[in-house]
Amino acid sequence: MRILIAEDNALISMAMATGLERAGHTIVGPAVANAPAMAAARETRPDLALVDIDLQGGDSGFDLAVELLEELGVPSLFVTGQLGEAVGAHETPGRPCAALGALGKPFRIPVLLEAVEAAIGYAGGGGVPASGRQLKWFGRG
Amino acid sequence: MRSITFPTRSDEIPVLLLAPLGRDARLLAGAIADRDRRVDIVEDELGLAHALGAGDVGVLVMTQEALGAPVMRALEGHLEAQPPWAELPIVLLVDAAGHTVVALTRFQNALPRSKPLVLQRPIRLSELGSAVETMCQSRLRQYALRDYIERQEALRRELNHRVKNILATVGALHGLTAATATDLDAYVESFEGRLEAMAGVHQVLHEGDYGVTELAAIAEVILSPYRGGASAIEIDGEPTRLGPEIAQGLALVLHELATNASKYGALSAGTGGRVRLTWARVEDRFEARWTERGGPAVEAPARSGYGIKFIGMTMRGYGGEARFDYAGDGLVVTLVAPLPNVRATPS
Repeated sequence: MRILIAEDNALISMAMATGLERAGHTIVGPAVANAPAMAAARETRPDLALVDIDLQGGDSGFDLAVELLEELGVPSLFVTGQLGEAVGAHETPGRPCAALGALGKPFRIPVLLEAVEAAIGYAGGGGVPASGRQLKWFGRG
Repeated sequence: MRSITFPTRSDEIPVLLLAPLGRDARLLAGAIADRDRRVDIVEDELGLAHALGAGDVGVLVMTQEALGAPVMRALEGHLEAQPPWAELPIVLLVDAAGHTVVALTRFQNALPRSKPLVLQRPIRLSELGSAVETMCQSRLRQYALRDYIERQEALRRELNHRVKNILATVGALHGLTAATATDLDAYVESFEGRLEAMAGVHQVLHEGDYGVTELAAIAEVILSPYRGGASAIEIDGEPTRLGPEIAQGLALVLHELATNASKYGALSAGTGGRVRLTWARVEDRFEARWTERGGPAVEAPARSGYGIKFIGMTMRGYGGEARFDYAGDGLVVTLVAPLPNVRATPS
């Protein structure tokens, strides 16, 4: 699968990229902000985007997920230190998040790989996967 | 939840006057309402409950005649629902000696946790005014405490976010170092060096309250341990302000370059080599150059290790690139990225 990484912390994006490449995925990016992420996504049409919520220059991952979905049909999974905020934002009436769910930092690579597999299944029309302490899936509203 | 704007001056604190007798109420209100202070008058528990529910009662002044059971119930409900920082200041006006004890006992029985300021009538109006002013000052301190608590809570949330981010970063560092280390000793050496670089950059970022940092300060803290002896490091760049994430990214890039130079390049022992780090704005790009001279002859490595990969990926993340030029007389690394992606946004 082609996976876009939008993350402004170089070490975290490199660790994610290394782990995902070893599992056979192809990495798009990583991008540190919304504009380069959209540019990379337009060029390569990733199957999934892993999106940090706070990006370089004050860019918002919430906005990026909306743009990716509406313009390109690319689903996102938030990868964030603010799992509670991501879930809270999704549960705010009238404005559900464009993302499939959110994975909380810090995480281990096997957890990321499982989350990516589940996200791809969910985006492909499968049922809502089971949420855990570190991984929350958003229902389709 | 409705939000309430809290006053910042004691004469902006609104006073509620609970007095069933109209003429009496107007007289008292006149004594309290000098200057800018707003005084609202209510006559019964309904008016009291409404004013308390609206959330803008700063100080409550009540007369003995108001001390009926319905008023007590309305007051009790409000006092119990107060947030921890709040204690509604109450001034209780009682009649002349004899009735005072009865009124006070009734009040204390109904509201055992409340400590009203009791004033005995007849009272000089100026005395009442100054008592109310004292109560308003105390209410103002409560609002200041509330603001303080809110700031602390915001800081706590921010700290939690940062700690998670740091743990995630250290976890990533560990995983990446472990994946490329040839043995445990090599892992320990590399990991400790990178962790130390992160600690150094944290100190600089902390001094700037995790806001913007000058690249020169970052370069200095990372490269200074490699100074000394015969090795010379020159740093020369125009003022460039960085956000915290890219400051950390570039710090770790410089750390990899310096470690590499101290092992194989111009900073290795006994070579007397030197390093020059420069950066500048070139059109709309940020361009930095790491130049090694006077070290041993260099050649391109057979395969790219962690350092080269990390540097390349960091710069690609910023929409730029890293070029490695293994010229015979020393390594030259050029780091390029679009300026807006590197520079901190002015705030």
